[in-house]
Amino acid sequence: MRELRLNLEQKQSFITSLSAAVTAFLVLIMLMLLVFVLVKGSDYFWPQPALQIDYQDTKQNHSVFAQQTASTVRIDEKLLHFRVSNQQQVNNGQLTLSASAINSVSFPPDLATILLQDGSVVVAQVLSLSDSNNFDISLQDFDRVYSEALALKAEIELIRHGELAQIHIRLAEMDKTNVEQSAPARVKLAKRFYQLQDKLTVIQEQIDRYQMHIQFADNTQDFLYLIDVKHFMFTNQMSVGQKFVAACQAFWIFISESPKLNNTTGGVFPALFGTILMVLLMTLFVTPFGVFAAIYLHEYAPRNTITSLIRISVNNLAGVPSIVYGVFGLGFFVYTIGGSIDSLLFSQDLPSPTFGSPGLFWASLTMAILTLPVVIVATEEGLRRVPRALRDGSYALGATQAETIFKTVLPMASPGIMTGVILAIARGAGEVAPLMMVGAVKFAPALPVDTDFPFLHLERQFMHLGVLIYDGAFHSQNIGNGSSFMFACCMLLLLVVFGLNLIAVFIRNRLRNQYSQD
Amino acid sequence: MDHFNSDDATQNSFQIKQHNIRRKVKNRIVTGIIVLSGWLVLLTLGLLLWHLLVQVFPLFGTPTFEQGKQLLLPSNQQVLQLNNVLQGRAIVSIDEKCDLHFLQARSDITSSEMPLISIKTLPGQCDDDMLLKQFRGENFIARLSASGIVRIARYSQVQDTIQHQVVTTLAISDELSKDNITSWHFEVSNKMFMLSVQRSDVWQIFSVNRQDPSDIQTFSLSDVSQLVLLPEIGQIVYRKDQQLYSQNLRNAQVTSLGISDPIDFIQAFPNQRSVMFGFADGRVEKWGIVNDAGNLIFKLNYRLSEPFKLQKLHVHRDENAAILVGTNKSLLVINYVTGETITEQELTEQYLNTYWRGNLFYGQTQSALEVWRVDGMSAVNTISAMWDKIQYEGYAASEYIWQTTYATDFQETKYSIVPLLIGSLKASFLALLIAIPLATFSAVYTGFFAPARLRNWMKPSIEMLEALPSVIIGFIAAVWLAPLAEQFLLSLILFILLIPLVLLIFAFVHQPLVKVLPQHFKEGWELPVIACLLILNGVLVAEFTQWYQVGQTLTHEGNLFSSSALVNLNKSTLVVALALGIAITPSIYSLAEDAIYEVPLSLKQASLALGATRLQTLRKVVLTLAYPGILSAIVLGLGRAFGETMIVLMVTGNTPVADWDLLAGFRTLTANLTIELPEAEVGSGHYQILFFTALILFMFTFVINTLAEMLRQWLRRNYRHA
Repeated sequence: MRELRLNLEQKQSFITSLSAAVTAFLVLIMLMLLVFVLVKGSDYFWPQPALQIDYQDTKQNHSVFAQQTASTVRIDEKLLHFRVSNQQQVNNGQLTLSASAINSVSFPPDLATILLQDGSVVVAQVLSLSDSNNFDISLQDFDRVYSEALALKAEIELIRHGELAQIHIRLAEMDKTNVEQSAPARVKLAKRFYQLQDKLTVIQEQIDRYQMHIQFADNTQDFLYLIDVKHFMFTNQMSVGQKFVAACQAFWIFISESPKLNNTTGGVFPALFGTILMVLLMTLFVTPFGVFAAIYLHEYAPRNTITSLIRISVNNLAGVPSIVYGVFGLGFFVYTIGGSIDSLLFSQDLPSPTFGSPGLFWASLTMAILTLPVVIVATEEGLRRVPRALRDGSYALGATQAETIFKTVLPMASPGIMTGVILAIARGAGEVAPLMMVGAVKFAPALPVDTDFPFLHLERQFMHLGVLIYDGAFHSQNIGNGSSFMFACCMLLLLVVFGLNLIAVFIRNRLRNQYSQD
Repeated sequence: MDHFNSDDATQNSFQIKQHNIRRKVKNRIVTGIIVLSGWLVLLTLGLLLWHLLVQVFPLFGTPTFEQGKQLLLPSNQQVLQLNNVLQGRAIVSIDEKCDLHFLQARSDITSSEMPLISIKTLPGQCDDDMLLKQFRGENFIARLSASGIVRIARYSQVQDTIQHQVVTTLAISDELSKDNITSWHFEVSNKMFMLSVQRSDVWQIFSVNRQDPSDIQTFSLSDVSQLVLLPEIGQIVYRKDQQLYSQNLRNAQVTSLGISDPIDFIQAFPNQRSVMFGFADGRVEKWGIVNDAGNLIFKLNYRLSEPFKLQKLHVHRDENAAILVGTNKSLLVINYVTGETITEQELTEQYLNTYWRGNLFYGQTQSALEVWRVDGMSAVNTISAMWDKIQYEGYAASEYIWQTTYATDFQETKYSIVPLLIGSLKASFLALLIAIPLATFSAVYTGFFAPARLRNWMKPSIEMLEALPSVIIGFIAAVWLAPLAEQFLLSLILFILLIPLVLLIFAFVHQPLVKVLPQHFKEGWELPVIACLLILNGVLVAEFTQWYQVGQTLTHEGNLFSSSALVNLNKSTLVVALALGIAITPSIYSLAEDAIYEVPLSLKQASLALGATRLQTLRKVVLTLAYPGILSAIVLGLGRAFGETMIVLMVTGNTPVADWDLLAGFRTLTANLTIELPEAEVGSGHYQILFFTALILFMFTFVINTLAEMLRQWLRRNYRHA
């Protein structure tokens, strides 16, 4: 053992390398987390190859067209999860095979991956298309046939939302005013109503004749209605560039559409929109409040007990667990203030609450209080960096304190304020726990912004990326497909939060250098 | 020209004056707004604390009783069943022609004396005996006819209409007459109706399956004087030969309760799992069932501290509150789980019968129903109910249990905060176990050893980790790490075991290497080398475990590391520790690093100049001075871990057990709030107790922050003296 005892130098080397190892470990973990989320997330967008799998179960051999969605390990065997299409389950078929059961896997170049409007995927060979007249149209004409089908669909929508809706409204009005069934105006309306219904039926029949004929691995055939198809691609023939374009398209779908199939596919537009809207409202509340409070602390506050109390408050507000803000938001904003607003202004709707239930307004107000210390601290930091001499100069020229602050100090401290606001936004975007109490939900039927007066519905519940991820971790049964969708959500949230933080760091670094010569 | 100019000047000076006044006013307004904002910060914190306190306050109050309206009973009618008549539930009464009436309060009269009117009449026969029972919102009428036939009917009320329907009929007398029946009882449970019929000294007991009314069990008891039916748990309690016994109907097992004193009050709780006894000497005791090695036997839960003569027992539907109506014009409010007397209330009269539901308490006199408004019942949740070990029904021993929601009403709600607190402390401790070494060592490296160039790059990257939303860490831990934990565990243990070995080898070659390296690389070169070594180590370990596991599955034998020990380990503990530890590391690191880095340069240089090595300088100078700062960072990290919600919510499994064993499951205060608060009824005891836990969280962080601040003050003093 004596030989192994380290001398002083070796001891120092050991401690140095140990601390370096831990530091390296931390940085590696961060990089790994980042890379992991980015890779797993972008996996969702990258077109997966379409496979033909020959496998055997207890009785016989099968052949299916499939896409791999995940692989897991159970005890001692590797399990592969597939999304398959066959005669029984055209879309959304699930198949789990152990690696040893698979006989062969091939990549037929003519195998298409067809994305449907409801977010599900069909893997099959496309034989031909048909429209209302022809039965055998080649795939070359897809764009033309598809646009014809869409035009018909648009025609239906036009009738439904245009004239038919008007008739419905007027019939309902007549019901209210007790117009008799046999009144001529009513009869005329009803006649028109049935006419339109008939027309719709005719168009619908026409649309139904627009089909895509597909064939599965066991040579059975089926068809899809063309208007159900969103797009299709031959992933096995695609070059990397084409795949990249397809991935970008998938990303665009992801951020511009609603979640589908129980939050396992589709897009996250409502969640992204809700997150951004909530954060914007929060910024609206927190920026003036935080900036003015920081100005008070740095420029106005006398050195007395109250001021140090306010400083202690800021410190403590920063340390309070976020969930306590959620509790406060629910108890005070939603039930106490919201309840009072309801009984004063919306008493006709009671007992169904308007502002007395969790919603966007209370969520952003709660988050504003939560992020207040961030803005105050960063703004004060910015104010501290404005040289004393500039203020004295301003006073010497006869400016009032308000003028000095707004014309001289604040413009110079604005990078600090920006930093604070951006950090607050990043915190607000990443915080989930309090939001689950004050208005963020798994699924909101309507966006908080729409065309109905007053356009911005502050009392509505909203969707949030973080809540979507939390929910997805526990409630999506579909492990393969669902979790890669959730990783895509994670990636989006990470990009938003890290992007904002990087901007804040960048601004702060510039701020540090700005007055270094003074 | 001159004149013109001077006129212009006065004009100008007037304008300037006006302008200056405006500027002054503007300055005032701005000052006002800014001062207001500053004070608003203080107000916000005050409001937060005040709101939490206001919500919690009723827990420490006392229930209040306030006498309100009188409801006039129709003359010549006798009340059979009281009900929450002000909330629209009908009272059942019988008139002299033996017809049943369902009485309802007239909603159009709001004076202090309201008449009750009949909304439905059911024809009856004066030969019939009638018993009424309420069970979990269902109402039953049992009629014993002169020919010894019992008809059990159920009635339900939807607004002003009463639906009445006979459920089952059974003959209980062979002699086709009820004349020799001296008394009878009727009891309902979820699964059965139970009837007991007394003929002189012999009791006959019938249990009827509610699903299948032809399934009837009977047996008889002789020489029994008092009898309580408990169909819900399939037991009866009776008094025989001056002794109390409980009998299990399924296996006919008889257990003596060991009570021989005379009893003048005996009533089962609505959930039929406990019985309240009032003894002749005024003692009041609650006996509840206890799990004794699989058998449910009755055991004494508690005895009230003061003697009290009982007339009736009422139990609250949701809270653990019971009202004991006495025979001396007064009532007691108790917590029926702990047996603490909360308050005593004088009544205006000795009521014939009483009824309690929600915040309305009804007392029946000869001609009227007196209504009392009861408020503040959540005060039954005393400090002892939240912090002490309590003997709950059905448990073998007293325990700390948190269980707040039940499928049915009238259950003992278990509000022990201890399991949640233990959970929070355990989670924080686990996280610190990982975070302290990670944060302090890396703080020492970048704050002391690393050259400035490297530090400028490393510090922001590690701090960036703090911005990572905790929901993402929780998601990765729950979805990806937890299923892998089993394989991962072996790799991780190997990985950690191998690190010191690698470093030790490194220590031996370090100095010789430094000597041959060019000057340019002398500082900070360890980091990339070590990083590469770590990655290499990781890859090796991963390969090894893969090979090992494949080998193991092929041979199914030869467990090098006794894998049963590893498999039985609760993996979620490890995953929580890792995820939460990683999440709080950056905040500890950031503050600790600042403390180490800001040790005055003069001191470090002085130490080095005196011939101390860098290691000696670190130990004797830097750490000696900076340790209050490091401690403050760790304390703040503890606060952060204690208040963290999403990671523990997603990873722990949220089982509230009061077990200090690190490997047992747990639920934290924060996760509990997220799970239960949105579902809790506003103003209920549950809601207030959840606010109480939020207050605990708030106070905890308050103390932590103050402590950290004090440590930082100490640190500043250290640096100033230097």
